[in-house]
Amino acid sequence: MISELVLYRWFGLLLIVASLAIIGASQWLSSDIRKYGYLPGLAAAGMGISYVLMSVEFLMIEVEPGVETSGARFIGYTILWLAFAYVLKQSAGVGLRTTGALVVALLWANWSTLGGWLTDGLSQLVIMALMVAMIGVMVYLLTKPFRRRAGQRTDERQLLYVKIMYLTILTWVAMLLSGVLAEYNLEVTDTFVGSSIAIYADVVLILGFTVILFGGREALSHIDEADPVRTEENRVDGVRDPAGS
Amino acid sequence: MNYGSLGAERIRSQYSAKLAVVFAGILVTTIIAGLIFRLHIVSGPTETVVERSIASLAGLMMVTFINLGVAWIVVGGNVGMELRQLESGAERIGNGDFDVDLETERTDEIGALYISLADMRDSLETTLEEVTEKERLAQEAKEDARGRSEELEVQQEKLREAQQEAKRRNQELIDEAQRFSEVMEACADGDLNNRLEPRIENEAIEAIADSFNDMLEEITGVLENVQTMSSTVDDMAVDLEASSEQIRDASGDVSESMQEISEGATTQSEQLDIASSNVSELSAGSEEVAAATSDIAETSEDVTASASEGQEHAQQVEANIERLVEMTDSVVETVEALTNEAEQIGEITELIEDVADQTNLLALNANIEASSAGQSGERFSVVANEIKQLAEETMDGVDDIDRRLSAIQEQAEMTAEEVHSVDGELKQTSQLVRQLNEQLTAVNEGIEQVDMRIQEIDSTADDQAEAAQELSSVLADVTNVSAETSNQSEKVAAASEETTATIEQVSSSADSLGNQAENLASMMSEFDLGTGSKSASGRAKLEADGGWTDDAMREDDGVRGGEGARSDDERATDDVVRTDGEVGR
Repeated sequence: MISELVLYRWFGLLLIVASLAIIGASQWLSSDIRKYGYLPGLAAAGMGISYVLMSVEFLMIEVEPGVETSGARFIGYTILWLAFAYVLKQSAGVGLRTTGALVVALLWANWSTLGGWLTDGLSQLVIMALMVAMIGVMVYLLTKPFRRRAGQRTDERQLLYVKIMYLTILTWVAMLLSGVLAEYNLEVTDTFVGSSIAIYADVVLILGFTVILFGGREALSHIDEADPVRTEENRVDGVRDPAGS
Repeated sequence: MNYGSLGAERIRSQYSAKLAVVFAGILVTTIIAGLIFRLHIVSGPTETVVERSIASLAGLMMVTFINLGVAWIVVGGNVGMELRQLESGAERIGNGDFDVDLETERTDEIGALYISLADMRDSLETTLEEVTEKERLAQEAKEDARGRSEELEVQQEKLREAQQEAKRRNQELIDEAQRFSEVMEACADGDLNNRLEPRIENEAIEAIADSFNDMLEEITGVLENVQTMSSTVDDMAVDLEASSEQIRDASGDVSESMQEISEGATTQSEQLDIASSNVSELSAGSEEVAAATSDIAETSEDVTASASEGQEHAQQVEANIERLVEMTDSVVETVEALTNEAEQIGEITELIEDVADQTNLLALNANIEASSAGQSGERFSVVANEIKQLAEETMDGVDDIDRRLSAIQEQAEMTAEEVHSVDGELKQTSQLVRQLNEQLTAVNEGIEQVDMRIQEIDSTADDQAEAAQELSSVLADVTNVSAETSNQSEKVAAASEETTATIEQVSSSADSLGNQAENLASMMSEFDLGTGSKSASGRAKLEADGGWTDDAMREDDGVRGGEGARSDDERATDDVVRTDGEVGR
């Protein structure tokens, strides 16, 4: 079977090429929303570099005796989640304080995995519990304050936010399940399957992020405008189907 | 035919096709993942095939879970939002709000639902508008018909009553008009004692009667006032004529006074011209004095310099004289020393004379001896003679020296005396020079004081020149004012003359006014105002009521069209007086 290192290398290079393609495609966007086209390109580049580093066994950590994995993945995730947080903040129109809380929860949950690998016993248990708690905080922030603020925006912005929110939650749940089923926890999956699930989740994450942003051009164009708080009267007005679904 | 585009269009237009595509994608992805995991299962060692199978199964479930989540995001989010919007739109339509925008770019079943809802909205709106309009029209027609029927019956009844009432009132009005006509004819003949007394109850007739009676009251009151006013105006015309005479005299005096003022102002102006000229000359003289004092100051400074120089020269002369006195004293001492030397030379010459006498005696003795010695003494006798001769010559030389010394002594004494005399003269001259120096010093101080005073005079002369210049300017202004005063005085005099002429016209108008007042009084006496003494007692009554004063009369005159009752000449006179007043002002 194919080695996971070879899998990481080719997938990393593929992501780097994809990032260039996304950045190139962003030039077709209007100048006022072009920066949102760069964001999935940035996320893809970050993840691509992380996979390349993983293929060369950079920052290898012994998860358990005889089982090692690379911590470079979390560098790429850091870039990716920051890009997600920015789009979530802009589409929902929340303040910096709420956005900061979301960023803390995202990064905490992200790097807690690495912290769990580096510790054991009670410390590992506490870190893992905090990671789950931070995922809960993240889900709460996305479904309550962010969603409430997004509900006051136009339908296009609200739909954009909801899609990215569900994509974020879906990915985190998938990664959490993947971690629980991994060979260093419940030992249900092995290295190849775990890597394959992670790669597929990353593909879904980056591809979904790109499609949602490029399909939500009209919603993005509303972000920098003076977007009035939605009232019951204009709730139905101007209905569009940006995703074309 | 492009089957690809047809397929895409079909997918876009059918929601079920969209769902089929999404789930087909999920199925394909899951199958691919299953194939990969199958490869993973079969490619490993046999001992761990169970573990790999479980791991692959778990992985396949994770992929399926992710795919279902993606399908939910892609399909569920949009459809949910669209359905919520449709629900909100339907709710607003149900509440009667038809301004709901139900446009969409979707062409599938949901898009058709949007279109159907929009058609339903439009249809409902149209139907509701039509029903409302028809209902409104029916209600309006019903109310209109009912109202018109009732109104028609009432109007018919009113019409009948009005016709009868009109006939009756017409007859009454004809009778009343006949009676009113008789009263008015009497009033027109000058009998203002009659009044209209309506015998029918009619607001118009009563109003006419009241108005006519009020008018008669007003006319009676006005005529009484006019009668009183006419006599008052007559009296005022007399007073006005007398006042006009006084004003004419006063105006003449004013005119003469203004003429005198004008002449005085002209004379004043001429004198001010002369004064201005004199001041200008004074100013020029002051400027010349200032220039002269400046020259004197400069000359004084030169004299001060010359005096200082003379003082220095005097001091030098004094010093020279002192040096001459010292030199004469030295000459006196030299002459005295020379006299002493001459006396000593005289003593020496006396000694030489004694030696020469003794030598002569010796020569005589030697000659005697030589003569006694005979022959042998002859030679000796020659020598003795020679010695004797030498002694005699010495004696002669000494005598000559003695004479010369005596002459020198005399000359020295004379020189000493003359030097003493010169010394005295020099000392006297030195004293004179010292006095001269002191006098020059005094002169220099005096000149400095004079120079200071001249400077003060120069400054004062400049101030006087400036003051004279300012005085000249002030005098020029005063001259202009005086000339202006003269012109104004002439204008006032002319205006006064015009006023006098106007007053004469006023006097004439007052005379005419008196005549017209008399005519008016005679005309007013033709009216019968109820009592024969009413016109005479009217003023008394008004005065008793406090309603008649001269001011009230004038006010009454203006209010009751007195302006209109006055003649054109009077108004013209007023205009002239008003105009003259403005000119005089």
